[in-house]
Amino acid sequence: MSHSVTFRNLTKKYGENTAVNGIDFSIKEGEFFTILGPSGCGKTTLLRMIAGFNSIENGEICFDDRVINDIPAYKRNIGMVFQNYAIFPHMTIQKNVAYGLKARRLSKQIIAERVDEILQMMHIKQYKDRDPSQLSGGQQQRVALARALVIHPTILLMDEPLSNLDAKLRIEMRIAIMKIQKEMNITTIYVTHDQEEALSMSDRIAVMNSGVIEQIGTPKEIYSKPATAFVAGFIGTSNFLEGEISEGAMNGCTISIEGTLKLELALNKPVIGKVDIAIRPEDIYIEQPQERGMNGTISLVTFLGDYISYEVQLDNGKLLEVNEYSKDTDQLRTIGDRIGLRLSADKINVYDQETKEAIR
Amino acid sequence: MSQPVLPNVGKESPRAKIRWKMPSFWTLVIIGFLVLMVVFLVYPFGSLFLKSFFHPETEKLSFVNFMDFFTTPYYFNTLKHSLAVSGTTTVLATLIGVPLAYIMTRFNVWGKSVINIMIILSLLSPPFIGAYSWILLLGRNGFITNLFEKIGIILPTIYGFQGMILVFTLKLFPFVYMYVSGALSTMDSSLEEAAENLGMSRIRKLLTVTFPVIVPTITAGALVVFMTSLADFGTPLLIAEGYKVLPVIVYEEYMSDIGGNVYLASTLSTVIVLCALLVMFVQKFIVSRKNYRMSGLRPPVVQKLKLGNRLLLTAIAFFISLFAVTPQIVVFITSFIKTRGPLFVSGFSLESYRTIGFKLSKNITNTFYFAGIAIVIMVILGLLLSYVVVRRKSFITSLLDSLAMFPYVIPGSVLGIGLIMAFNKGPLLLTGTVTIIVVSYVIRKLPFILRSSSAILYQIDPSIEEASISLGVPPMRTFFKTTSVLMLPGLFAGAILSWVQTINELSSTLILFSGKTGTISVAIFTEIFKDSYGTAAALASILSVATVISLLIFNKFSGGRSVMM
Repeated sequence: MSHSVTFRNLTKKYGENTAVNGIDFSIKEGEFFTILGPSGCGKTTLLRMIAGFNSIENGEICFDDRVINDIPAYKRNIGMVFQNYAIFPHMTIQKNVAYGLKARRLSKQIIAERVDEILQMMHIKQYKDRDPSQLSGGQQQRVALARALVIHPTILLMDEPLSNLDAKLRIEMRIAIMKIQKEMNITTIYVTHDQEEALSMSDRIAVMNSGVIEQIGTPKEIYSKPATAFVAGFIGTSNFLEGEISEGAMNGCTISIEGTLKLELALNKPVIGKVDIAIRPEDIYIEQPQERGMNGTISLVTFLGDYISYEVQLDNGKLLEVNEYSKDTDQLRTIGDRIGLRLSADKINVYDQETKEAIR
Repeated sequence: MSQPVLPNVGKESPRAKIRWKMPSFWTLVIIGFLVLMVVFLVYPFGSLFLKSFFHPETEKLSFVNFMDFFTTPYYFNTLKHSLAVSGTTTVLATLIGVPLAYIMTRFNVWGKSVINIMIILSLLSPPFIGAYSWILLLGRNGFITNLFEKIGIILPTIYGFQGMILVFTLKLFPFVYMYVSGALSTMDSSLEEAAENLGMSRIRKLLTVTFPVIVPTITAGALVVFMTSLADFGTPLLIAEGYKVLPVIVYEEYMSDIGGNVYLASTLSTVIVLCALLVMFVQKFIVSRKNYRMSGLRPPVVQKLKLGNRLLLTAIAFFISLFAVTPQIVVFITSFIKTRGPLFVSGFSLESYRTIGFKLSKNITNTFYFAGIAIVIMVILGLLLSYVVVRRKSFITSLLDSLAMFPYVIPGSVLGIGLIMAFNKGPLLLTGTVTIIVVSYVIRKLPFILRSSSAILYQIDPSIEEASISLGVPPMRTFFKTTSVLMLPGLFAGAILSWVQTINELSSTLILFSGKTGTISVAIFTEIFKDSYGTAAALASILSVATVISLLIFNKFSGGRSVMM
């Protein structure tokens, strides 16, 4: 049985500094929910408020309908996986995993059964009697997860659990975590600054910046329709261009991009004047240079196997990143090539310069 | 990314309506420490220092005591003497300790472990034992003095300034040595290699890279030397004679039969503590400006020397450490020499030990009994105090930290006087009891335990505890099941060092003991004054053996860590 989590107007201040500012949303039962943001954005503060290690003074957190603000950390029944695993170094693997069950005063037999079961599930049963120091990072990670899950927690919290692993192991553990999360159908809140991790694992993501939530959505929504300029810049790579709207209405206006290219777009808010345009490197196409088009010169070539990343210097001096996929073209361009650029109009995102919010 | 953990996870009341919450375990601990510190630190030493600002007769606020001190040459000279002795000792000890550490850590001298054992041995007896055995050798009726007299050479006197310098330097350079060799052997070798690579000669490399980088460590060692020599009181009492230093006149002013001038004793105490504080702040200032973080990934290599140089450096290291350990050897041999009254006669016997067994066995049991209680209390207090200081950072806990560290600058004799003055009347009448001695030991050594246990605690990941709490174990039980278990081995090692220093403690015990509460060190001291050199030597040997055994236990538990925490 899984549970929902609701934040109501949650705020946390440290002196003058507001770490979490008016958070207000819900996480559904059984959801894999990621809080993604740069370091210092308040995501760890938020996680620690859920866990009970940071006090809640303003607003409230509910598990289902129950306000948990005043429940001490040790009574919240939360499974938590720490960034550095926090395995008890003075206990064997088996004792580590049994620790939370002992605190619940379960019978020896039940403890043994449940520990065995979870160790089996996490494929670490053979290390049962070892000391933590004898285990590799990935194995320790599995112990930490087993220890958090064995208590049948209301929700599972994970604080950048993969940041100490090497690239290959990280991907392996990602899959392991996703599988077990779905299998146990446990509401999971996952904190990370790694957008790839967030995009690949989550049902939904909340992008957080300076204590506020910039956008909540599925990985697909967040990637293709970033709600704010910050999200566009933080998730994946975006080229930011300057646009200007001289006239127009909601359902059709003309934007001039970098003073050259003109595009017809429908906006959801009538704006006249300068706007920010974001477009991803893969949504820009390289063509022959054209008179009155957006032209430039290739200034750097990075060959990455499945695609080639070009740095293009526009004639007005601005630098853009443009990707071409190996499967689409055999041509490898060289530094100094003159090229023209075409933007795929339906992939363009337009942001108000003042509010930084999407207007398309 | 760790934010401060607020200590407000208290017990949840079943009836949520009730506003009042049972304060959390750690809040109670903090309150407990506040009470203890007010009673045993703020009250005694606050009133001791305050007294120096009051007129002895009118009892009004006045600087008359300080005026007296600075205008009366008899008193003012003691300050000059103290600073001269401590200053000279510090310079000499550094000049011996640093090069010796360099030789021992960077070259393949022979017998390193023997040399190290000798140095550690010399470190762990009270300084006055050094004074006593150098008197046995070089004093008026000393063994070497007499030998030279026979061949017509009159040696310069050992009493006074030069004697103190000799005793203190040989006794205290090991501190500098231990600190510096620790730093030198963990220093990242790439720094020195870079200097060489950039074309520095060996000597210039030492002066421009190696030594500057370890300046904080050198000054830390020098600070210990300065503080110990400034506060020590047994040594000058034995060897200084007319050359009076501060701790001696503090004692005399306080003890001088009836009507000892308490106000002047307070003033002298204040002056001595101010000197210590000043020097400590200077050292802290130097360290704060010159502290470098190093990632010592590759320890420096030990250089292989050619035979000639190897012999030379081995000889130097060996003789320095031999000098340092001489007092121990002398005392040990002396304890087996036959005596007739105060005189040594030829031949060996166990007579001195028999005398002790007959007369002074109470002092021996007292020593271990008092120190044992003190250690248990210290470990418990150190464990809890370091935890609130490190993990519950707040204004109050940093105040607790400073208060607990304060006795570091209080010499033992001042400590003793402060406690006596505070507790020789109701409501807490402790004078002459075991309690007051244990209290003085705990106060005295808590700074060391606190430092070492804080250092251990900083190595333990706070999320270990959070993991335990989130698994359903309340904060107090979590502490005893996780953090304290992880701290204990290190703490135990630290406790043995404090134990060693406690069984050797003289300065405050000498002031606080009564007929029934004498310890070994007190007995040694009184025996020396009664010219019973044989029994004094035997007692000192017992102390040394106890020290060595304690150190062996320490080595077993410390897992090869250095004696200097």
